[in-house]
Amino acid sequence: MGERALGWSLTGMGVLFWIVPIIAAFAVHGWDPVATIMPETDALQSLFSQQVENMTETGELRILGDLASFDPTDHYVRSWERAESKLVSDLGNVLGYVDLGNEGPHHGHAPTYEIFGEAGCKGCSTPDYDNADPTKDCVSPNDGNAPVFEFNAQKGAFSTPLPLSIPKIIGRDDPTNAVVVRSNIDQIKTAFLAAGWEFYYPCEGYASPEPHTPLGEIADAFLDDNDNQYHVRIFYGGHDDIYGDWYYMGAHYEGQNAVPAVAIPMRFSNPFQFPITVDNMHGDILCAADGVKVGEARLEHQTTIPAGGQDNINLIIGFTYGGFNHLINNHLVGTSIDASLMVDGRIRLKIYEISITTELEQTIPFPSEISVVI
Amino acid sequence: MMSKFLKQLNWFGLATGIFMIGFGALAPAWWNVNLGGEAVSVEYSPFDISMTAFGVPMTSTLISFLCLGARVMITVAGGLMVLGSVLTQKWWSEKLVKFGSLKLLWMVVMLIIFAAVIPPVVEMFAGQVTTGADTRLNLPILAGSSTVTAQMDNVTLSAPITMTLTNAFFFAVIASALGVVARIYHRRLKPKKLMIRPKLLSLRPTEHKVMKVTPAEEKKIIARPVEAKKVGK
Repeated sequence: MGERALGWSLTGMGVLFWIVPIIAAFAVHGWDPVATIMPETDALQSLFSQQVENMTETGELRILGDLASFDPTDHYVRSWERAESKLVSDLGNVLGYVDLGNEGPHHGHAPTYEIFGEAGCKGCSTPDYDNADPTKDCVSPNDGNAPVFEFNAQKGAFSTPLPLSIPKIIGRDDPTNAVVVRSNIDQIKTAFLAAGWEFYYPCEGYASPEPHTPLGEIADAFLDDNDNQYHVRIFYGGHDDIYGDWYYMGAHYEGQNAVPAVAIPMRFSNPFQFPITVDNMHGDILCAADGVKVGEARLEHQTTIPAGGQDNINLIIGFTYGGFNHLINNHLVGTSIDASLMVDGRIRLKIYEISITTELEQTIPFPSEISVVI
Repeated sequence: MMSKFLKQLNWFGLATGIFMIGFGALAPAWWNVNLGGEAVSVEYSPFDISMTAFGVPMTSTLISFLCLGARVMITVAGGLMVLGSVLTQKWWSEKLVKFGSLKLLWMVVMLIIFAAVIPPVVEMFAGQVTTGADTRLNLPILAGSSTVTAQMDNVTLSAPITMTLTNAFFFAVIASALGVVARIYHRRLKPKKLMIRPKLLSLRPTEHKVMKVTPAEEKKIIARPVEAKKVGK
């Protein structure tokens, strides 16, 4: 009898532990099943009841690098050594090598960082732009050894030792990385033309050993290589009884034309009670007038907007050569580009680890304050 | 005396009872589900279910009360289990051990069933709820991680989902196994019921005399001729 009573009591207690909470829960909410069963979502609803419109505010497009004006005929140097090697392979007639004392990296300008798959500057993770920061070592270092050429008709007349005492050009950003001895400018021109290079005097029809440009060069030689080119600046060195006339050459491998790197500043407001990370933005930049793709855009860097806060983000635009030429050829009015750019891309936001990707369409006028000087 | 007492203890039941009291007191999470990192977080145990969404705690009164009931029940059952496992010679000890021994096991089984059933059910209903959206859940079952994606118009939503069984769950599995063992082991400890055949004692078939004897007494009874008192008329 006692065992049975105990058994029933325990079973009853077990059942009560389930029944009582259910009854109590319903009683607390006045027998409202929805309020009893469903979680309280008031706090969550208030969390998302914020205005999501006008979260972004777009500023005026601006050129990076603190440039007052932009010259699309500027070039950026990719490598000194590559051009030097090209000279040796194309021109031949190398007597040997001398040390011109310009070993090490030289200041140059790298293409826009990672927009076109370019690695950007070595040793720095921030973008570098044409003429932007001459203190950065952005191009291949120069080994200091300069090939010595001789294009004299009577080759071999010159004998060793090589002119090790050739004076160095100092005070120039660009290294002089080749020397021509016992040759005049016409012989140099012939050598370049024979190798398929183009050869120009800065002043048409004026060939003279005397420097006559601000840089002091007397001639330029070019060789196209798709979007890049080899460019050799030739300077008159002097005359010596042993070396005859000698010339310095500054050879570099460079981008064909410079394009401006511009930024669209955007102010991002976060009305929510949790941080939002602007994780990525990328897209095509189109000419709003005729839909021609003129470049690509990307987010400068990931930015986390704190809860209820604001922050500025930059959308970096890298123009393609063809795209920028389109703007110059079709929309250049005076020194201003009279066109609007349309960003057609996607933006990815992160809330905690939830990624939200959506389309981004924005039209920005090309600011008239930016002058393009050709 | 002490040795006899220790021999009569149901150690498995004692351990199970202590585990149960511990679970009732501490209510550790058995199963964690995280969606989108910490965006949506669920910590589940039969004794406490806490859920936060974007830092906001979400509670259901019914679930909270049920968890509280389960918590009190497991604590009480654990206490009774300890009592039944210590005082094994009492006539009520078996009932107490039986009452508590399978409680955790059922809770473990329910969690496994729940965790196994929920992902397919959610996947089945997600498509219907999010009309117009291309939803891909690929939820893991019980433990694991995957990515939930949903695409609607121009918006793509992607979130990692992670399910983890905690150490507390594995302790609960161990405690459940101990509970089963304790239930079986307890049969060896309880005072055995000796059924004496009525023919042998010239009793009426309906008048069975149940005697409670210890194992030592049982040996004596078996060794000597039956001397049972006639009861009734």
